[in-house]
Amino acid sequence: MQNLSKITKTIITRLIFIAIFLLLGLIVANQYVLYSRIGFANLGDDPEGTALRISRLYSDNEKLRSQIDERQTQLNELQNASISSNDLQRLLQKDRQKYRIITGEGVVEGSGVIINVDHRMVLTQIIDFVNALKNSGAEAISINEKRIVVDTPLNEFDGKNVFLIKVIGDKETLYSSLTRPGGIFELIINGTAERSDNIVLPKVE
Amino acid sequence: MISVLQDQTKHTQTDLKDLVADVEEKKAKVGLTKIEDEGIVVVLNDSEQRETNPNSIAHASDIRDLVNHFFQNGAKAISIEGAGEKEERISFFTSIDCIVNTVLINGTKIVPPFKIRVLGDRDRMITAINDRVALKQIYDRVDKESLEFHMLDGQIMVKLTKYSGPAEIKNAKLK
Repeated sequence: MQNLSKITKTIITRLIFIAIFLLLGLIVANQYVLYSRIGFANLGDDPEGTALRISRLYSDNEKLRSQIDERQTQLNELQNASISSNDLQRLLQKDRQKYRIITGEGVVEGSGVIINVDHRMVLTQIIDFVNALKNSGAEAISINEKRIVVDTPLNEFDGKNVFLIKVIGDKETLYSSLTRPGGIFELIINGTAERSDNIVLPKVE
Repeated sequence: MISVLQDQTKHTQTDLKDLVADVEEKKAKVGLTKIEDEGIVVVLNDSEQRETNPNSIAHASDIRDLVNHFFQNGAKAISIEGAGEKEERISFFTSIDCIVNTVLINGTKIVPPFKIRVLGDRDRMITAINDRVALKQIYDRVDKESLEFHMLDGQIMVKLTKYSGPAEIKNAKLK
């Protein structure tokens, strides 16, 4: 009985050892499966690959930042170009309007003087009269409703007896230069002048 | 947004190009650019005779009459040059005035000999300068008082300076 008991004890002891090793084996196997599922095994296995991926991500990020900067610069340039183009356009339009007034391409209005002369004037007198008006700061002139510009010859008015001369410019300067003692009326030919704020001159024919 | 702005910029650039061309054309018409074309150069100078009288010297009024005469005959542009190569372009604002013994053009005092540079069809301009009827007052003084008035030979292409005098527009505006 004692012998049987020893044999039984040995078996039981061995069975206990086997069970312990089996349990340990199961735990290790379970850990392996778990690590494989969550991927830590790769992290541990390929550290150089991970560094490469991170490096690529940084590089891509830099490229994207650079593209954003580039686009922002382009956007700023376009916006600035648009603003400076508008400024330039405004300046050009202003010049264009001024030149159109000078060349007589448009109907103009403004303040100045209206002159009536009801005597005969010969060509030289008309030339001198217009010259004197320009000397007094005329900005635009018409004679008998015909616009006078730089290359308008005055021959067609030679010998006429009635003149309606409209002049846009500083009305006080023009009026005084015409009517003062020793002024245009006294020196060239007499007439009457009135200041006006609403003079309209036709464009060149 | 960038493509919209790019389209707008393209349109604006085209508009600006047209506007610049138009402004440049008008600027030239006003006389604010140098110009070279066929034409003639006319000399007007005081008589060399010792005993001078009002009829033997070149006056501002002679220049005014000649400017009108050349425009009457189709001149495109005119400038007046005095001694010392002082040249003034005729613009709308130009007045030609006698100031004691000088002629004031665009605020510049010039003295004879005067060279009147005229751009335009040469044949028409030559016919114009030889028109003794229209220029009777000058030719009478040429004949009687030896006033110097003639065309310079060999000047076929004529260069004119640009107008550089005042050109302020303060009261006139386009309606």
